[in-house]
Amino acid sequence: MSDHKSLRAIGVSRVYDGKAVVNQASLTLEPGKITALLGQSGAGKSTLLRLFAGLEPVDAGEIRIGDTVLSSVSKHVPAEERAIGLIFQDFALFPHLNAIDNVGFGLSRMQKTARRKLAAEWLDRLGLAHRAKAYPHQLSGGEQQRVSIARALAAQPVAILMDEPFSGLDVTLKSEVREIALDAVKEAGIPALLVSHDAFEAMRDADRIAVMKDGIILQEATPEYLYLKPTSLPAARALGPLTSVARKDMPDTWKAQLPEAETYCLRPEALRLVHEDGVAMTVVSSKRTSTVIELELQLNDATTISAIGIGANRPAPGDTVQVALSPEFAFTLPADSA
Amino acid sequence: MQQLALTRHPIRLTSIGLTTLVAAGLIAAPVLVALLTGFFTGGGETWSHIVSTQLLGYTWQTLVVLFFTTLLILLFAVPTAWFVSLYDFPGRKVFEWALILPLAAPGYVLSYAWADITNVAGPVQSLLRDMTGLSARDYWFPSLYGAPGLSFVMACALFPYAYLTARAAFSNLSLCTIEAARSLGASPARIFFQVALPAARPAIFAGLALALMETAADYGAASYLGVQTLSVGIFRAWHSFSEPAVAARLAFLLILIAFGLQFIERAARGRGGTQQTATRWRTPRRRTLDRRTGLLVTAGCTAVLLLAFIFPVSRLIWVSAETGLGHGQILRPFLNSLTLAFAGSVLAFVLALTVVIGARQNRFSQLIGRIAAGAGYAAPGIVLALGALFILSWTSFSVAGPAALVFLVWIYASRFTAAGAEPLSAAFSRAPASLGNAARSLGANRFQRLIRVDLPVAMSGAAAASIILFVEMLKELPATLMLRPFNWDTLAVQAHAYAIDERLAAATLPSLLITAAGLGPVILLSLQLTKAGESRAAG
Repeated sequence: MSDHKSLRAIGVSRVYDGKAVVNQASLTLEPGKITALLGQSGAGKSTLLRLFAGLEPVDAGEIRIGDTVLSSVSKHVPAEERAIGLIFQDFALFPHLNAIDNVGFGLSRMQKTARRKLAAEWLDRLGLAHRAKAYPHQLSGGEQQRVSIARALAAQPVAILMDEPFSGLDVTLKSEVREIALDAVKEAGIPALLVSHDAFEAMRDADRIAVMKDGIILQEATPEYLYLKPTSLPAARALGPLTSVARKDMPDTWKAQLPEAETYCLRPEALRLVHEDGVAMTVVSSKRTSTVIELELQLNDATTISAIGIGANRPAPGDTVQVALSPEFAFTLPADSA
Repeated sequence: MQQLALTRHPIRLTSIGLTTLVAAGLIAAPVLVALLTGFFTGGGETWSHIVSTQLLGYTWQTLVVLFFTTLLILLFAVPTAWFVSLYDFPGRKVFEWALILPLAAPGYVLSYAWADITNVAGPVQSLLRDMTGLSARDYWFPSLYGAPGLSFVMACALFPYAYLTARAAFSNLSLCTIEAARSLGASPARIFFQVALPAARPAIFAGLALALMETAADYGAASYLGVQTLSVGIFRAWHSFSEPAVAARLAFLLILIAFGLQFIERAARGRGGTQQTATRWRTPRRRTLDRRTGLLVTAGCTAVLLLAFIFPVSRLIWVSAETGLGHGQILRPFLNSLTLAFAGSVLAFVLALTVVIGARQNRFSQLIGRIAAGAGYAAPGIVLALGALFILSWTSFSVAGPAALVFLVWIYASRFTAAGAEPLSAAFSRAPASLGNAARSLGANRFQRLIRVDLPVAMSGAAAASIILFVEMLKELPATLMLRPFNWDTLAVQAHAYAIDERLAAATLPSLLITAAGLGPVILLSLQLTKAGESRAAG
């Protein structure tokens, strides 16, 4: 669809005080796709973003756009010459400039009228045409973030990097801003990185997810693949809750549905409540969230297991329920992955 | 884990680092020269004479003045700042900015005015005699001439420093903290003493330390009121004994006091436990005081304002109007003052900007800049002027020639760069690092970031810095007295000369002009600070 190039990290490392906060990380950001970088705080996500952006030099490895090397041990194209857009959690709008001048900041080489026209178009695209004259402190959090996205995209970046872009917004604003913003990012057809610590957000918003822990990229794949076929326990846990169950503890009817293995990991969706022909289990606890019922069930004397249910009636603790297995939500991990 | 192939990123002396080093050298040279000369060549008979007869007296007087000034500044600044920040009462909006006005009048000007108000023929004692029918010999009246009087005058002139820092600290208290204290049953007094005061202590100490350094460095008021402080001793060693090296050796003590004050301030700041931890940040909303308390507070604030500003300045205006305005040449000194203050401000601003930007780039520049600026600021004008005189004497320039003016501008900058660096650095630090990164990602190089982002963002701080620098330099007396070329008077020098000659009427006009010139910038500054506070409270 376009001549945009992929942005790649090839075995990059960054070391602070002898500790590798990014450790030989390789990641390819494809044009037109949003890649989420998922991990807990301190995992090295933001540092990897800074290496992509050129805000810091690499201590090993390379950053490339297409075939052009941006960072290596011997070369460092500074951030201001990379044309890589950045979106920050704190919006980082220039407080002395109004919305339209913020958007026009990266267009300083254009004539003033052309610059203002383009900036106005971008504001309009993000639904902010009426706020062009407003200063950052007069804008709501959601509006500020939309201005910052317009500012980054108006400069026609070769890639865009977003560092927890929506975590500063409250829940109701978040979904509205997210949709407008991510649509605009995708439309630009450039590689996009979304740094997040929220698995729910990453799975919903990204085309691909890379899970990072202790400076290492554990696995990178589509959200579905990662959710159901993780290659390590930390990667599996990063995407959502799971219960490990030994084969010997499994009811026989379930064993028959699963390939031979010592231990299985079950996502909560692996167990569903049925009216008949299930395995009878006692409810330990049950909670209703907005869409589903979260259950803890007694598998045997030593093990409880998570399950989810839907429906109007919430089983109470102590109730007995019938449970069936959906084997597609169960997976095994390589022996050395823990 | 595999072994990483790593490169080191060496620390290079960048152009910014080098510029900072030059700026730091310019700032620190005069004080270093003065101290080293004093140390190596300041001995001899005069020194022995001073040590055996006067040193103890000078030091004692200085410490007594600092002690009383501390008490009075705390009394003037802390309660006013507390009520103005957190409560509403009649006249609060006026006091909010008016309590900063005394900054416009230097201590020596207030000393002339208060001496005139309180002397035997002055309005207070005349009124007293008229009302009681007593004669001057029948009663005792406190004299301004002495350490307590000097302390009173210096506290009047300098309490706004502590008022400003205390006000900022009180306004920054999170409402949550106060509400938590209230919900735990704390009375307003307990909230003040156990919650607000401990939290604001470092800020109050910072303002107080600044005021006390100025007090210790004061020469004009002390010499006029006949208090034998160290500053007066240093000036006398230079002027009367013609022994600049001895004067420089005496300056050691003064510098020691200044560093002691800075040390105490740092220590107060360093002790933890004053950071706000409430993450939900809400600026306190003002509570309206009940009528009786409100009127009491209004009366208190009015009294402070009357003592520190309105009485003395009105007296000067009165005397000046009574005796007519035609006292000698005033235009020349006025222009001289403006020129010097302007030139000094520009140089100090550039140096402050260099130091602050350097500090943002790397730690080495940060350290060098901070030490240099601190050293210049801790050194009183007298000491810096001595340093400049020593340097001048090594050159072929005449001490009384125009080169001395260049040196004077240099001394101003050396003395006040720290005063300018502080608001600049505060303004810069308010801008999050992400602003710079955002600008970089949009293609702005280092210079463009400085022009298009850093400076505009720091504009309010830059304006405050320039104003503070200009006013301080306009008021500067001792260094100007020592370095100005012959017949090249500033307003401060002229006022001092007339006042020392007991020609108070003639001293009023230059004194008023200094105050008036300082007033505009001080009002601007105070409105700006008040507005910033209000917009923060609203936002």
